[in-house]
Amino acid sequence: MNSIRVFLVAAILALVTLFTFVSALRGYQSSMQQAEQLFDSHLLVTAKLIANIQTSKDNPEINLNSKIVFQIWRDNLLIARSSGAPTEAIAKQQPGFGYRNFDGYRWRTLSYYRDPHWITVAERSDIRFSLAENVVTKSLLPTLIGLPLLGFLIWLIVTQGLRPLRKLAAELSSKQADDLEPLPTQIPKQELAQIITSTNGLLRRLEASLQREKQFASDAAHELRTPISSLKIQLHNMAEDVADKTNDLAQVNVITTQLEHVVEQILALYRSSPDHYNAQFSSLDLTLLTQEIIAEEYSSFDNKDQSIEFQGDSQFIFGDSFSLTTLIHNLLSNANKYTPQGGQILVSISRDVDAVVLRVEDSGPGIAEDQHQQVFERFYRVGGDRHQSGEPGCGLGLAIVKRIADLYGATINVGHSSFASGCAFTLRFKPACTLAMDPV
Amino acid sequence: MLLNSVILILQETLEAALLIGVLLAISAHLHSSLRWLWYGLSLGAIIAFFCAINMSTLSAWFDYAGQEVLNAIMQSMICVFIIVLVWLISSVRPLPTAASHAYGNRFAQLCCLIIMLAVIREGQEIMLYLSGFLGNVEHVQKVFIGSGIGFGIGASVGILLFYGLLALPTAWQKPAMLTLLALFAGNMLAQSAVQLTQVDWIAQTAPLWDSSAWLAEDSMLGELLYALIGYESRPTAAQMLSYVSGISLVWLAALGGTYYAKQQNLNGHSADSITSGACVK
Repeated sequence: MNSIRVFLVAAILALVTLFTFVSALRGYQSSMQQAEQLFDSHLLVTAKLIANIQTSKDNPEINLNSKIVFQIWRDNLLIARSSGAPTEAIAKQQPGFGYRNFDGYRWRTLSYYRDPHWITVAERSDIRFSLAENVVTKSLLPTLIGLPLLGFLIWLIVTQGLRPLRKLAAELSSKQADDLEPLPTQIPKQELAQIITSTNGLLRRLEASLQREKQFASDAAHELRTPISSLKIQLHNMAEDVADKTNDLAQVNVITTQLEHVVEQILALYRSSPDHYNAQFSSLDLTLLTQEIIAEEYSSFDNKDQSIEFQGDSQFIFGDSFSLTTLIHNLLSNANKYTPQGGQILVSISRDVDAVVLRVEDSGPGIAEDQHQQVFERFYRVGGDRHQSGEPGCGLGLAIVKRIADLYGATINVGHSSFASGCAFTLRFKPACTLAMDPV
Repeated sequence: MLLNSVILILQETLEAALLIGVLLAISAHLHSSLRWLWYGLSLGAIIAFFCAINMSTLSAWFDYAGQEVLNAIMQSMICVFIIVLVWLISSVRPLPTAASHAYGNRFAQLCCLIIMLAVIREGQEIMLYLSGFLGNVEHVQKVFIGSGIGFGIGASVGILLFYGLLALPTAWQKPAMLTLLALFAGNMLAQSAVQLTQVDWIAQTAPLWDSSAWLAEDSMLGELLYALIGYESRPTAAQMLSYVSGISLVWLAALGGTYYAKQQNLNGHSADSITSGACVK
């Protein structure tokens, strides 16, 4: 009931039906009156013709073989009549039309005087009506049959008329979340031009606002780096100078490290946004890069007694080492943080028919299915700031992973790991040129 | 023959179409599901079919006053259900989802019952009329063309009433819908009085006035007003009394429902009115 198309089709069809049918009924009534007049004039002509018949009392009954009956009276004596006409008068001897019932039917009668005779003719009313109605009904039939066709045509026209609106809706719904490009203005309908102009204005303001937000985050993070570095040096010196290394100082150190991490992540996020990313892609071995990063990060896993295993052969993709290092580092860091002491992590790289698949699995608590998409949102953490692992984090790591994956046109999915518990992040990259890189 | 068919089918269709139009408008206002309409129409059509084929048996009930008495009962029941419906949409204000669901169910059940009874009443008469011409080759085409025209006009007026009600300013929608429901209820009760008068269950009295010279009941406008507001050119005292009673009862239900809702509100219950567009599914 909320569809514009249904409203237009139903309302137009109802109005057309109403006016057509009411007009048809008026036409029917008018045609029936005209037919009645026509039949009356025919009856009058018949009466005049009969008046010319020469007859005598010796031959009072004439077989007309017609649906019309007549009587000829002279001085109140019936001197002639048609077969089927009664012997009593079928109408009063007064000039004009009337109705009379006899012989089980209703009759239209006419009395006509031609000196010295009274001629009365009569015709069955039901036959006159039926003849007239048959003619008029035939003219109504096309209207009734044509109505479904009219409904179909109205539906087609309304659908055609609403096409620019559907096109605009499709343009809007096909826009990616980060696509703030103005809508095309070629849709030529005057009614939609204002909507497109307003929407484009809104998109421009939104883009400018987002740009300011990004710029602010980037500038703030950049400006914070230097004081944080100075603060860390000062803390280190203080720790050297102070004989009693209290727990408070260690706590300040931890918080400063967290602060530095957040600032680095914000900068990484900014650098990985498409409008700031100017890297030159070249063919590189994803397996080799991953092995190097695992080797660099090994101490983090070792500190938590976690076992990390790598599986896979050499696989090449087009990319640059900075962004891929950030991506793999963040995935490994995520697995390291949320896998408990003594847990397992499995990193694998394999080749599908049309993709190089990087998979990082852990034996941690896993992620509930309803949060699989949310984990890629900025500043989102499963369970909020009070994550049960107690690990510090700012909720930017996976957002950066997603953004880099988008840069590469790669897909990323979260699922269950092959361990008893835990989750698995699977990235599918487009492989580098198959002929050049694959072993033959 | 054609004109007779138009008038008879129009008379039967128009009443049901207008009632459906108003209930659909209320339903759209409440964002309610439309399943009640299909249930009401199909149940009504099935029962009407069985009533039509057993009409001789039904007519023999109540000392051969069966058809009139059954019609009067159905018309009175429609009036009662309209009164309950008006109470419901005026008194229950359910925004919480659980209450909305129960409210939506009650609303749908009432609408379904009203439509079902209307279709049984009108449908059995249409079926009886049309079945009488099925074997008559001479008249069948005229009868079906006339029926098509009558149905087309009735359905079109119903659709236009529905969209007309929705096109009204929001503040006018509720009063307009309640007014139409009150007129329908009065009309139903007045018609049941006519049916009972025909079988001498109510004493026949002289008409209170005669306005047939101004507006004949069998004219197009007369038919529309008969279906919409129960126009009668020669009403009797019993008809007028029933008509006024039906309208008064609906307005009492609306006022009582609104008062009840206000009391509930004062008692701290969550509340919303029909004008706020409570969501019922």
